[in-house]
Amino acid sequence: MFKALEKYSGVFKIELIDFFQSKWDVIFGFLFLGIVIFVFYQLWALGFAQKAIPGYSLAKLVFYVAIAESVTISTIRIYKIIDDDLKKGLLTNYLSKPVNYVFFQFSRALGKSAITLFINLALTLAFCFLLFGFFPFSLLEFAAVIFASIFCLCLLVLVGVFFGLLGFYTEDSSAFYFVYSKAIYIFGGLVFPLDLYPQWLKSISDFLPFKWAVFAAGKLAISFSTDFFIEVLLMQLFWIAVFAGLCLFVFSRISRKVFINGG
Amino acid sequence: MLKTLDFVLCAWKLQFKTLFEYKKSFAISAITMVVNDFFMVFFWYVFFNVMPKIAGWGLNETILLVGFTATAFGVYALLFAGARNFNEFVANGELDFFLLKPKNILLHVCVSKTDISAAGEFVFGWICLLISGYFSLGNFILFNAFAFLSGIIFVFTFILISLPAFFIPKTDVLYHNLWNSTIHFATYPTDFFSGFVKFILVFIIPAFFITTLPVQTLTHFSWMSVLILFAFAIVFGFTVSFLFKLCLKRYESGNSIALRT
Repeated sequence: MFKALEKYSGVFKIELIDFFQSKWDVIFGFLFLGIVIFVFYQLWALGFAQKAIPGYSLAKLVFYVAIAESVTISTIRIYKIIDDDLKKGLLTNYLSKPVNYVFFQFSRALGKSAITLFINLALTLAFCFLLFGFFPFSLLEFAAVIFASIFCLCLLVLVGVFFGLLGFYTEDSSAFYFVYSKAIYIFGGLVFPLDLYPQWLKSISDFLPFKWAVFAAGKLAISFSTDFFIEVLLMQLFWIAVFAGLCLFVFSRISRKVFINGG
Repeated sequence: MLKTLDFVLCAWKLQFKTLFEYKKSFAISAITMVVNDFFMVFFWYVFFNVMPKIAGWGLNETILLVGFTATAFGVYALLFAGARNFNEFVANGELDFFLLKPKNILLHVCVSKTDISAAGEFVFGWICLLISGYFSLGNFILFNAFAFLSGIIFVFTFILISLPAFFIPKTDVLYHNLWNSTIHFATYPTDFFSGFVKFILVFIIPAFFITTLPVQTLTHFSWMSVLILFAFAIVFGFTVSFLFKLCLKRYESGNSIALRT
């Protein structure tokens, strides 16, 4: 167990080191995130000048978008890497090694996504602080948000791995990714907190994992409560277990069907 | 002039012929694009579910704006998609192929590629015009005419944001972000912004002229707006072409040998 953990944490570390080779890409990448946040700031500022939304303030909505967008944008497109591995036959390289392909790709994606998340969060929160001059959470609450955000990443990466693996059956997983990205947008509450949705949409979101992967972190940051924090962690662990199980199941079916042709 | 038109038509014909070979792929991409665009309508639906009309823009007007942006983007993607690769051509020293031909370089680069799936953007734009409540035969004609003009402003904007590649060695991430920002801002009415941001959206990334002004002209027609729109398109086009010619002096060939099929 510890040996396995050591192995996959090694993969995680390699991705962290690799990240620092392309740090400017991430910093330039923040430019777009900064623009998105600023657009929302101006949009909601105009809206709030005319009408208030019960339970929300301009600052709360902008901080929500900053955190929800940071978590989502930081998650690397692991489905594409898996898609390539399946199409180019690179999967066979892993079959002969003492690693589990699902955990290997998971650790790899999590390593890169985690460091990107920290940088994006630092930059977006600094930007929001410049806009409002305060944070809507205490230091302890922020630690809880970071903790929940890591689980958000785990869930998003696992869903990405799952959709990537499905590409084995359909030859191309980009259609699944399309559905996944749109599901995050709507059912995850990427640009609006789910509380602002019409009731029928809110009800659908309750039954899907995306709420716990995107909405959860943003909501915790703007209106923290211990009860909600515990609920978030429990639901995240539940969905992580579900998708880890699904990934392992699909991979076990795939690895039996892999046909190695030549060397 | 006629020779240039003949060249452009010939380039499009060849591109479409090749792309129509993949009918299934075309249908899937076009449908995906329409579905994707509907998410922007969803965004405004939720926003106006909790907010009243802002600066004269309500759900109907923003739906029209989203549809118009899609159609204008469709014009660029269907007819001048080569503009997207301009940054790469400069950065990798691959402009040689175009420089050696006795054709207008910018035009040649732009028509060197088409994205047939952009046909979905046209369909989406027309659906939005229909559901926005602003549909009439006159508006349908104006909608398409303005979209063509805006599509061309889109093309020149993409060329403008590619120009740093003549000076900075690695600009792909910067270009990608500027490209996304242009499209992102185009889907919001410029009236929602103020100060420095509004200045950028009017004069640097001309989102105001690409979408806001044409849509305002559709909802409240005035000949002055039409005149301003055309004048801007001409001045902007000439300015970008002039800047390109200046920057071209900094171009360094990649000396690469490649086969173009």
